[in-house]
Amino acid sequence: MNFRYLLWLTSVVFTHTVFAQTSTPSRSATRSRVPVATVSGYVREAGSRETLIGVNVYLPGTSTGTTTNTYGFYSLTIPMQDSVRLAYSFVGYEAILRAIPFNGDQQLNVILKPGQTLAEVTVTSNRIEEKVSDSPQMSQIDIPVSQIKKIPAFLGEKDVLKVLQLMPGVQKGSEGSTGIYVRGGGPDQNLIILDDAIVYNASHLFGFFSVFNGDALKSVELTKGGFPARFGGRLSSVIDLNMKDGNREKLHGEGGIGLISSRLTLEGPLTKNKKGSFLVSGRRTYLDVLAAPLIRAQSDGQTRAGYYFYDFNAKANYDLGQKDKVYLSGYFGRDRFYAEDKESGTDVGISWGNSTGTLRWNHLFSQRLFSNLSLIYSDYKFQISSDEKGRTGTDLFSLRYSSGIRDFSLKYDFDFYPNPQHSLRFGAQTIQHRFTPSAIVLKNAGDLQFTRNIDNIDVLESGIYAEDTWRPNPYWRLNGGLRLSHFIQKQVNYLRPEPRLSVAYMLKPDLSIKASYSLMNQYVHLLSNTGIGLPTDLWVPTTDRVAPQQSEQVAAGVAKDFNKSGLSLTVEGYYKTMKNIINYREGASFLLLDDPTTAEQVRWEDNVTAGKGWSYGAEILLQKKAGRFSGWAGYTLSWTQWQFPELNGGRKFFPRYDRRHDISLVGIYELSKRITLSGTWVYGTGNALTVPQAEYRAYRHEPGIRGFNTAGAGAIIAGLFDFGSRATDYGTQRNTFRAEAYHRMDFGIQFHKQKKRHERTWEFSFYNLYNRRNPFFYQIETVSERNASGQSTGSRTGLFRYSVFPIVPAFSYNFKF
Amino acid sequence: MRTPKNQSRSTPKPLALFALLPFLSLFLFSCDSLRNEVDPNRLNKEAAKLVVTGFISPQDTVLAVQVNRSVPVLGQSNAIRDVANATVTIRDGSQSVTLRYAVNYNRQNVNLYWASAGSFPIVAGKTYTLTVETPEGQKVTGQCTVPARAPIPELQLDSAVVSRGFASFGTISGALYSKEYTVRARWFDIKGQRNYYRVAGLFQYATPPVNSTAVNPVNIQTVSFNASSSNSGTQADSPSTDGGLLTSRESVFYQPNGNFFVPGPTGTTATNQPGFSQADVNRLLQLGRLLGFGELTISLLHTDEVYYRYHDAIPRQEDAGDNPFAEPVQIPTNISGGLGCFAGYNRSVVVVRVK
Repeated sequence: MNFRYLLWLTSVVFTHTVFAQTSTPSRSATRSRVPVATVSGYVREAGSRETLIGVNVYLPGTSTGTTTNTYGFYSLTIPMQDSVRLAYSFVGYEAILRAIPFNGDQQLNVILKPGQTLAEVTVTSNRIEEKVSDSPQMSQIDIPVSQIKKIPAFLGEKDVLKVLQLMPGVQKGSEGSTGIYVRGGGPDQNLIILDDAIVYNASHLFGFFSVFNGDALKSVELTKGGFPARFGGRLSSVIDLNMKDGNREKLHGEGGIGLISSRLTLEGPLTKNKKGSFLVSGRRTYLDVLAAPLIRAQSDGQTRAGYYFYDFNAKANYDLGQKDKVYLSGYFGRDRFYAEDKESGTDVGISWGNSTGTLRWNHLFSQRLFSNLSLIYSDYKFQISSDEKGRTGTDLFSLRYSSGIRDFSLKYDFDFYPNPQHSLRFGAQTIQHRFTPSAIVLKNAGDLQFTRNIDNIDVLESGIYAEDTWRPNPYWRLNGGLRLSHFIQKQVNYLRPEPRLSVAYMLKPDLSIKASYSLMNQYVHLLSNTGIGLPTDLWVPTTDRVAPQQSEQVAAGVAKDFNKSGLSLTVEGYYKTMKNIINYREGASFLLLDDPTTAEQVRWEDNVTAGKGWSYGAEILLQKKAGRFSGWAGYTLSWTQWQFPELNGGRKFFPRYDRRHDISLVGIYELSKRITLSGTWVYGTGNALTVPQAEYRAYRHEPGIRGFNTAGAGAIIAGLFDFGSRATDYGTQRNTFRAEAYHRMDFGIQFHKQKKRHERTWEFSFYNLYNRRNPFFYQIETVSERNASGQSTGSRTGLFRYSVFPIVPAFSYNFKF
Repeated sequence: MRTPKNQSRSTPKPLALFALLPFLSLFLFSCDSLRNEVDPNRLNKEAAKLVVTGFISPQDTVLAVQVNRSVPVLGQSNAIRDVANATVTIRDGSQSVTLRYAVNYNRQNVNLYWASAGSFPIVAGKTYTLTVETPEGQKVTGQCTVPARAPIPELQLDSAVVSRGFASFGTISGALYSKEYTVRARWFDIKGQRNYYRVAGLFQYATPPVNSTAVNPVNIQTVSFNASSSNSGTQADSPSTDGGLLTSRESVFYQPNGNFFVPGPTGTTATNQPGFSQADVNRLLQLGRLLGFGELTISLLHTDEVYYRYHDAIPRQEDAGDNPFAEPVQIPTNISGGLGCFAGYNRSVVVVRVK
């Protein structure tokens, strides 16, 4: 650790901050006699009084402005004057203008009405919505939740993560999976946070669905580069999800009945004084319920088997006063597979899931200083149980396996708005992780009992940060910050500075060029060699043998807003290096679970290997967030390379998900008040795979005798070979086989109707409309060949491509009241 | 009979598969058109390479090289054939030796090229080049430098009488006991360089005749230092502890290893085995006399890097098998233009009498 470097960085950030504060009076010498005042408040949605995140609050005709934070709070400090005109605008909502007398500090809470998409609002103001060109932040994607609900989804299950996969720079893993690959980084390198709580395994049903229920979500934002200092702990992305607070005015409900699951959300005021609200939302699949009678009938009532998942979101908030609010939110989800057979006496169950809980307290120290204190719990567990009973009901065999991770975390964040030029954020977070890599309890009747626990590993991961968004003049926008991350596990101790900087320069009012740099450290690792989000994926900490992962990324680009059409265009190039990324060693597979009872304890570190990675590319996004026709077009050109001393003979290679071209087109069209059409088309270069090329006999040196034992001293011939096993030649380079390109079109149509008491929507959708056989995996198989008359002519070995989903139609019924 | 080890080993894998099956079958196999054959010309580019394997050391009396030819994975017939008509030469810079072909060499079920080491001694520190040429014009070469002599290992040998499962003969049943030997080798790493080692062992023993007419030969048993099948007893030093003390994995072997009995710990009953008279059993039960002769030979091989990586990779490739989720294992090769391994090693041996 270079402390001089650290000191220098810290001083740069803090002198900048101090300078910024002290310089305000001197720089504004001309207006030094002009006293300033602050206007602050919350921006909410009409009807539900749900707070809105990211609303633009500004003085029309100037570049002075701010945006609401995660809790809908804004604060603007400007010179006092007789009156001031404030504009509030947010994508998908009608902008409003407020004129207020401004001779002292003001509190102004504002309500925004959802906009009518069919009646396109002609935009006259110079600055109506939050514009991509106006913020120093780059490489960030946010998608309105209302838009997510209109995009056709597999089996009708709306999925936030799968919509994010349609954005440039973001890729899916295999077909149908929710695994996310951002700018050459793996699914382990994404920080997925739901109401401040880390979600460790974001997938249901072996990765086909994500755990997030769109009905309970208010906002989704993905950052893939230029990370602000408030985020840390992962290399490649931050996916920040916020749950809805709940309707404060009256009880509302929303739900849907789909092919595989149903869901219901209820929200409403918590008390009569409307100072608080609640939201509960649940979802469950019912494949098991439908299949149960079938399975029972087939097995004469002997077998009971099935699979289901459910998840449950709940949130409540209450205003303790003008200055204090409390929020309590939580998520609980489980996947469970079970099979019970009376005949053989076996009972097998596998279950896994996350639970999170967040208690938050917002406090306003002043109109300019907002604070939030969060107490967070997060937990992921994976369990296997297997029991066998004898005919008399005696226990013959019993196995329990579990693994998981559990966090307790404390986070304190401050937002400080000293003047319109600066918005500061600073804070600290500490997470106590407890890893349970594997715990096994085995009981065998009449024989050995046996319990093995790999000790829980307790580690502490902390970070302090400070960042400033600085608008020195109408041309420059900067976000600079420093995060100091700290990790401690027994003798392992890391303290690392993470400098972050994003800069935007406005060339024209709606055109800016941007650049960013960020350094990220990751102290927890995900052991997964499938990338599809299986429940066996295991989180493990940095140890004395596995170093933290680190990445550095520079990005540069242009952002342009087209006010008339509501379009925004971003073009970005990025270059990212990654150090100490981990991958399974060759031959290693499902870890610890594979062979839980070997006499010798295998440390998981023995099965992984560390290396370097590079990713670079260009991304183009043309997006329209609101209006009658909305959607986006995205294109990514990228290269990702890895180099591991223990893989591919130490030479560079393309990892599996290296994807040269990636195209996505998403369109939503409101045909009429009652009909919404939507379609998507995606294209991606095929995965880089390693497939067998040839076979040969690999003779090994036999330093002793061949075989296990023999009789007669004459049998010893040293220095010869074993029997020569048949080995596979995978070619001279790893991952040289390219799978066929992936492309697919989805289509959906929604029919809305306002009924007396509720609004209903019928939705019909087609996944993979033109029935493309996209590759899921490849396998070598031997098939027997027959001639025309059906006689066997021997066997032949071939490479077969397996696809998962042909065209999949789906429908669902949704309602709102 | 169910042993705990077997049971627990085999359970989780089918479990996980069992869980995946309904979904995989639902999605994959219900519709056969979701399975399509890929044009074989996209593969099969690497076939028909010469596969050359040879390991040389100063202690060997025979230089042996095996040559076969790789075949395409895809296609109709893919029997792997040995190459019988190649010219196989080993050179050390100043002189060379050409190896002769032998079918079923020394009745060892292997066809190979060989030469006596007497005429071409292998010397530590020297670099050797192996060339294999076929009449069709295929030519591959490999090169290795023979490492320095391995240190003499120190052995840690322990024994104890242990229960080894359970057996029944007719109406009689009882616990089986054996003498369990555990052995580890320890040695100091050679300083100033990366080193690769392999530990191997043999146990030779003779039991006294069961009865007066029987002749008991000397038996030889491999003493395996493989903790699991996924290694070959190979071991690398750690770059951070150059010259440090290295310890092999533990090897565990048993005597008797068949249907013999030794007395259990005090208070347990040994069981009569049919076919033996009580006198035989009594005699067998004399543990001190059980081994007429017992000798443990432990070799420490100091190998070059490609030897280590080659032997480390093969069992891992076998273990990974057809598991589609396992990372494919490439077997390293130092044969330019071909496959296989030409490597050098140097052996030290320790022999101890075992009671």
